[in-house]
Amino acid sequence: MRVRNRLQNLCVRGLSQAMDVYTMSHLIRRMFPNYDLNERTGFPDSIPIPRKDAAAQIVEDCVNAGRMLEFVAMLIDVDRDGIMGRVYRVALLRKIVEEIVDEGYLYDAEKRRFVEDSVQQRTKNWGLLHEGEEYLFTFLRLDIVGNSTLVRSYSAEAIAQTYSDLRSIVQSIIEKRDGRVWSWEGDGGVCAFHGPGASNPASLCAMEILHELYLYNTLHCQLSEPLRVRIAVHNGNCEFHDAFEDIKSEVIKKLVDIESRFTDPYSVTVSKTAHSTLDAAISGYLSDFQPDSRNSLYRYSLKFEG
Amino acid sequence: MEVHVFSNSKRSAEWFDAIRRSKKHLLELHGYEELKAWTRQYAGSALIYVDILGLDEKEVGKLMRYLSSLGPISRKPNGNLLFGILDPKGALKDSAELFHFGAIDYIGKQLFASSLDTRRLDRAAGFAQNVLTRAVTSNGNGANHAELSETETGEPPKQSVGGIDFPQAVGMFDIRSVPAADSASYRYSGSDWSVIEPDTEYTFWFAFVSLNASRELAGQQSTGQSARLVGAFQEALDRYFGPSGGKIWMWKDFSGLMLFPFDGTAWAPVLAAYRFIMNQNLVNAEDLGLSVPISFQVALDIGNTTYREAGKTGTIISDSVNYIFHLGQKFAPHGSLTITSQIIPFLPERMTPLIVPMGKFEGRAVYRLRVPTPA
Repeated sequence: MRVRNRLQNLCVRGLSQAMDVYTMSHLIRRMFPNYDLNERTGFPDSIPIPRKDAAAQIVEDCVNAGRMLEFVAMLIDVDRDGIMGRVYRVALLRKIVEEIVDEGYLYDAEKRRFVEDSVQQRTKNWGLLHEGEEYLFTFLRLDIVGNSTLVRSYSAEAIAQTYSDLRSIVQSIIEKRDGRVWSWEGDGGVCAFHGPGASNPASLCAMEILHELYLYNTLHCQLSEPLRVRIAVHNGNCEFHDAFEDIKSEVIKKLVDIESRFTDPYSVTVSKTAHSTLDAAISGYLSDFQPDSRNSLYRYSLKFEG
Repeated sequence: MEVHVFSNSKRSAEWFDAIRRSKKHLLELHGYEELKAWTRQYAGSALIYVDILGLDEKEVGKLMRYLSSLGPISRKPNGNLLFGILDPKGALKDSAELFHFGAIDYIGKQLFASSLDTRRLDRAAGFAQNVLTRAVTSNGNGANHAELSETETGEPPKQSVGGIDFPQAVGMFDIRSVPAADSASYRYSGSDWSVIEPDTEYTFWFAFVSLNASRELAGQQSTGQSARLVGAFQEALDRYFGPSGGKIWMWKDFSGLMLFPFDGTAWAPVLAAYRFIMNQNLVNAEDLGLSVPISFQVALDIGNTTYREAGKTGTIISDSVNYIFHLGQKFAPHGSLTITSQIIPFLPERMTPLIVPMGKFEGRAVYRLRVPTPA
């Protein structure tokens, strides 16, 4: 995120007015555990650091580390909850938040962090994640069944139109629930959802994609046969890289494995770890199955009643 | 699958509660005396269990003859009610005789003494589907199944829509049997709300929408919780129906009436209703936050009414408004999308296999649309 001088100055003033240097030092260690304010400012231990200098150094370090949004979210937490039972009011907080909103972010009170205002922008990293750092993700992988046969059987135009329609369906459903399409290769792709509760939106997206694909097949599909997909959902810690091909992760490998080996056409398979974090309201729609002695998985598909 | 239990015994009702907890099937409990009225109006496919506790031999015989006229061995075109008998005291001398009448399950004294294993119900349902498939393909109804074809392996023929197979062979509805819509009475209200004036009569799409199991909800939830639930449901309605011009026009308790402008061409309200019913599980989980899902109900019609703003509708007199309320409240099955003959001409041809005739209600032909559900 671009950090304007005005925002930086507001943060310095807000922080220096809200708390003493000792508390500032304590607070910033929540983000940088080994942070040494004396070392960073150049003041020796024997000389007290002026509040404004301490605040300016902290804010500058947050800007340089690309973690300004995280820092302001922490100030919001401090303003609301205090520190160790003591109340700290960050006087300029409202103006600080307004500046960030102007940059295209919204504060999500439930997640206690800033998120991209999807009306203004939508980046692969939600404007938050840092290259090379590890985060908890839930991934959704989708693959068109029988891609090679379809490509051989129909005209290039019909295939291009059909696959493009599928991508539009997937993208709108994924982005509606704050997911991101990280990779799309014509016959399928990988989508990512960030955070501890992300298996819920990922699973709901997978279900809705099946529903919308049924409607598409019923009403619009140009091919003389229905378009079928396999969808897998799996979660775990994974390094973030802006270029998808740079992500080398066991989580992605397992995701591909679940999709290609254990998922029936026109169905969703959810891994055991993703299933374990699902709300009961969603997990109730999945039925468990054991494809082999090492794997326990959960399936979702559609059927007609009699 | 829908499972309906007809019993006046509290213990029998409790015995079936494992079905509700398993969430695999939708369970509804009825009094024994509701059996005939319910079966007369129900036109879907369901598995019903009837408790014969307290009936003498003669009454059981009468009941079996009645049930057999509804089940898969019936020669009626819509004979697709599957039934089992619950005999808590083990009163029947010859339980095998039930199967000659078309029963697909029998729960006797010994089984009733233990708890219900829902896998048994799954097996009973699977058996029932096989019976149905054989009945449909062999009883002469197959002559109407223009799209049926034998598979190479000689298995029962499969039909599908949108890539999802029907569980059994179904009769294709002949759309030509629906009389043309009475368009002479249409007073087109346009493609949006811009030209609609108060106190003027127009033709609208009507959608009766309802959150079901309202009696259970009323008993289990506080007034505040119910209000929040209804509020969340209405927000979901706005999201699904708003883009096709739908507005909530009247509302009471757990159900209401939505209006859509009618221009004589667009069929967007039907698609929105179809999507809404299909996505019931998503709405339950995401919007209502319910781990025990509630089914929704939508009934669609086209008709005329004088328009007034929502909240000022108390003095409106309209046959169409009366009809859609009666249809929704008295006839339309839970969890389904019910449509009148007025809607049929607007459906795209590809949806024709989804139409299931339900008979007549207040003199007009009524249908439901098959909607896929979680397997």
